[in-house]
Amino acid sequence: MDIDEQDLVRRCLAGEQVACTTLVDAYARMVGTVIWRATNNADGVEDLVQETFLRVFRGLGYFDVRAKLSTWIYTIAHNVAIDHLRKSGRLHVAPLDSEMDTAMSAETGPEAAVSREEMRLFIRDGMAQLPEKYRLPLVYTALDELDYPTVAVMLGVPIGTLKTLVFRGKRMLKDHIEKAMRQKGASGSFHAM
Amino acid sequence: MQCELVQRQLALNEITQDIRDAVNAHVASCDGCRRAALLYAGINDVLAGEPTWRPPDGFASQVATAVVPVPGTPQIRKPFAAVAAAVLLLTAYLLVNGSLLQVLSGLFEDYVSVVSVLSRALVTNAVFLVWVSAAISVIATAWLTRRWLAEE
Repeated sequence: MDIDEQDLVRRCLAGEQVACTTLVDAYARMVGTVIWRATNNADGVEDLVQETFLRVFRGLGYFDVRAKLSTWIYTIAHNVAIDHLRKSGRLHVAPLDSEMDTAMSAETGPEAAVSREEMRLFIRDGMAQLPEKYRLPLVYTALDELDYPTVAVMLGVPIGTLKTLVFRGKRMLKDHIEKAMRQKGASGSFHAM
Repeated sequence: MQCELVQRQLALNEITQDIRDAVNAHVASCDGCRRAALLYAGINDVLAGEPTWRPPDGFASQVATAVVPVPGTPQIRKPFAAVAAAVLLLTAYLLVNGSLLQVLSGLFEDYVSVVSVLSRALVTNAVFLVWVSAAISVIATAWLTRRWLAEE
């Protein structure tokens, strides 16, 4: 993003309405996307984005201008999403069954032919069952705008740990898909997408 | 190459030019990794293809109007100010108390007696001082916690 963050923060704090609008305009799309991915629910994203910017403007006076503004804002968005998941009782922490099957699945691969749409459904189903610990790193790192260092700050983990979480999450997802394909009982080979 | 290492690189999509040939050779000769490569490619493709959120028209100005930035001084200065105020308050209290006792007892002769009076003043008011210190600690902790929660 090609904006002078320090200047923008200073102008927002001075009460310039235009600067505040510019700040919201610059980050609203990504904030909404982070919240949507985290909550996995499009309803209510708008309210949570507003809540995020409320917290952003409340805390702007304490923002360390040496840090990256976008990372700070996305971290707040992540916290808002987590609070929402907690309040709505949807914070999923139980491990996926297939976490136990990891070693086995490498031996017994699926022999299934699935369409792209079926694969998408398997992935969505698997994602819905993933514990947040693995799901959030997956969905965040899949966004082009969020690199590993940014996501690591958002989640409060070192980059190495983040990569391990992403790998384990994808492996669990892969095992879930293989299991679903076996249950489907199709034969042949699945298609690359 | 080890399957675990290859699959990690495939999952993270981190296959650099220097290892590409080795990974490709391994994948070509290993059924498990070939299957994993296809699945990870599919997973990466689906995750990357998920839609992004689009704010409705006028959203930015609507939000900016609703929320007003709170101008603040750097966070680090406020606790220091609170601590400094507490120390000043305590010092003033001790000075007033000590001086009062000094006047009352009429002991201005030498340095030792002043120290002695101050020490007695501290001991005499120990309970009160402990309560004042505890109250300041509780108030400062509550204030800092509140600020921290508000930022979170």
